Amino acid sequence: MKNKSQSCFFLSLLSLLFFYKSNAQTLQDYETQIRDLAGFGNSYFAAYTNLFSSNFGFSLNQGWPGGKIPEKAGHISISLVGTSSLIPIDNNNRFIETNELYQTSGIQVAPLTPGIFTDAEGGVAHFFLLDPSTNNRLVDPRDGAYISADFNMLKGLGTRFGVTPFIIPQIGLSLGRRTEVMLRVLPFNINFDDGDMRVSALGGAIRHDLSQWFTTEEDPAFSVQLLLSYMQNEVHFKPNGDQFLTFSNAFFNTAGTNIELSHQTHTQQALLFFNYRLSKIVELYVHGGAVHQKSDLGSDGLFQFTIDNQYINEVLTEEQSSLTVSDVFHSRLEKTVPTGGAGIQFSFGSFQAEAQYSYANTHIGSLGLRVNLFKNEM
Amino acid sequence: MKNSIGILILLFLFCGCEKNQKCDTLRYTFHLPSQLLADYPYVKLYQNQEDFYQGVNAITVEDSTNGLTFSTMGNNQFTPIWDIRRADGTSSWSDQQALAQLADHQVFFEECSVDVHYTDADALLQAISSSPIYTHLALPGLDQDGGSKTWEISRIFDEDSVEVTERPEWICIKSLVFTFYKGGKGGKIKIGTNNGQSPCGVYEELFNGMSEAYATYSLEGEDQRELRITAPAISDALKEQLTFHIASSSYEQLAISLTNADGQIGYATLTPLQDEE
Repeated sequence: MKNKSQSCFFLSLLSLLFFYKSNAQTLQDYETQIRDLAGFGNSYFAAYTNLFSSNFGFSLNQGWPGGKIPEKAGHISISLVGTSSLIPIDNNNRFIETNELYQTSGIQVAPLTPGIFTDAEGGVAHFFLLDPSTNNRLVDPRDGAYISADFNMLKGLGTRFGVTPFIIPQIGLSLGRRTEVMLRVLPFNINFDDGDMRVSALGGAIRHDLSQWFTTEEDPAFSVQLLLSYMQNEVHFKPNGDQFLTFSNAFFNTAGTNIELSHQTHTQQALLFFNYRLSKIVELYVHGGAVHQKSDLGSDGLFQFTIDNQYINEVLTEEQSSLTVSDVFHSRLEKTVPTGGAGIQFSFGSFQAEAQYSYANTHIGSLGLRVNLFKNEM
Repeated sequence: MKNSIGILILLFLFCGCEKNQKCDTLRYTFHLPSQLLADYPYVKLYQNQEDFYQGVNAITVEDSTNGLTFSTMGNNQFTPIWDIRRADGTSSWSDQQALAQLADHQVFFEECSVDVHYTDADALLQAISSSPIYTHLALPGLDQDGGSKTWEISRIFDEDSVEVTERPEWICIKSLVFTFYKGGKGGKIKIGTNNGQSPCGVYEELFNGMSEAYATYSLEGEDQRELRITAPAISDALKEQLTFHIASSSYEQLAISLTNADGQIGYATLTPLQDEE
């Protein structure tokens, strides 16, 4: 709860502007520092979430089964698949060095701030309004207080490994010719004190036994399969309005702000599986191929930022002291990496359990439990 | 089946919830090249801006045998501010962002500590470039750690070197006193009036009914000789009146050129008032 609250405050720092709406013309003198502020905010948010964002899509698209594919059409299976990256957290990635973020003289922060998996409080970022002509900080003429706002940086989660856990149901249908299609779907909504979260994941895979074309053996112990898969997911978090992106001090306030955060990934993958059946119960495999991930962090909704008119009335009329901002966050990561790993599958009648390790950008572990329904002859 | 589901869930709980130690406060050890001391005999570190302004709670060099070492505990509000000064008054006051860019951090999470290295000595020396005028404006002397200094305009001459100090067209600016606080570019300045006089002319806008007004100041231009006083939401006419060119400076006297409300150019000398804050 506290972490979310901190996020909210920091997000307000980031929100100061990306794109002005219609009343921007008279605020052009302030535009540079506002764009700088948004640049800083984006670079920080991207750095904070990097370990998660750069691996979640890869891990979500793992855990597809190896092992034998039913020969005939009509075989149906239902599985529950859990996947997670296991990212080593060390001294090199625990903290973000703020001197490597986007630099602007309007922001002052501590030299280090925790990354997403580091167990430490985030600290405070100070935002100072600057005089457009000199870039000097502005003060309240009455008491010399800087015209500024403080925003909390994000707290780290503090886990032994960086993880991106996800559990998703999967249904499989064999099409004949040792070909199987699989579908994964998971939509759910969570309502809690801080807001509403919608999570959805959708994707599928097709796998085909290649070795059947090269052997006349009916049930060979060794088989080779091709798997093509695609996964996408979206997370939307709509915080409760009065707790999120709202702050107020003697100089600024953000009443009327309404922001929804989103994270999306799209991942495509092509793999070859090399299976070897040790016994009726145990089958081993190795797999390798390539996987491509596109990860987008973004936001919808508007952020309304008001500066007390007495401090900027050289350029603003009273009605124009509010700035409305959209598209507060946007950052994209896109990467194609080789992937490879190994797995083991246990079969007990209609039940199967499978553990898989993959390396795709980082270590990824998967566990799958499968029940075979309408089990045609294998 | 049930057992397997249990194991699956436990795996994620284990990975997701096991906590590391908490490092909200880190021990920072700063390592500066030893050749810095040859040119810059005054080197102090502050934990935050307020301490830096006032010159209190300074962290001094801990060890100078193999480079300069400074050590302090820093929480997540820690914003290191360097006060590095050369004998002529050149300082690091306005260069904090440039100095931060040169820092390389090496974290030791198990010890909750971090080593900060400034390995590029040339770049470090080059980054320390704030005009000595800043120290002249705000401090009584080079060894003063922090605080402020108040200046009054003692005499004004016109372009023909005729003294115009008491002329009506100069009396409004002559009545002002300026208190410069330590800070470098964007440092604070308090503007008041001499002997409780009421502000007059274009300066009434600045005071807005108050007896004193705060603003910030900076030295602009490549040679850092244009002294600009910056206040929010003021007219262009007042901005012009709050811009001066510094011809010469020392801890005891400033020689500036300025313009009055009629557009006449004057040359003024400023001297410190005795009662310092």
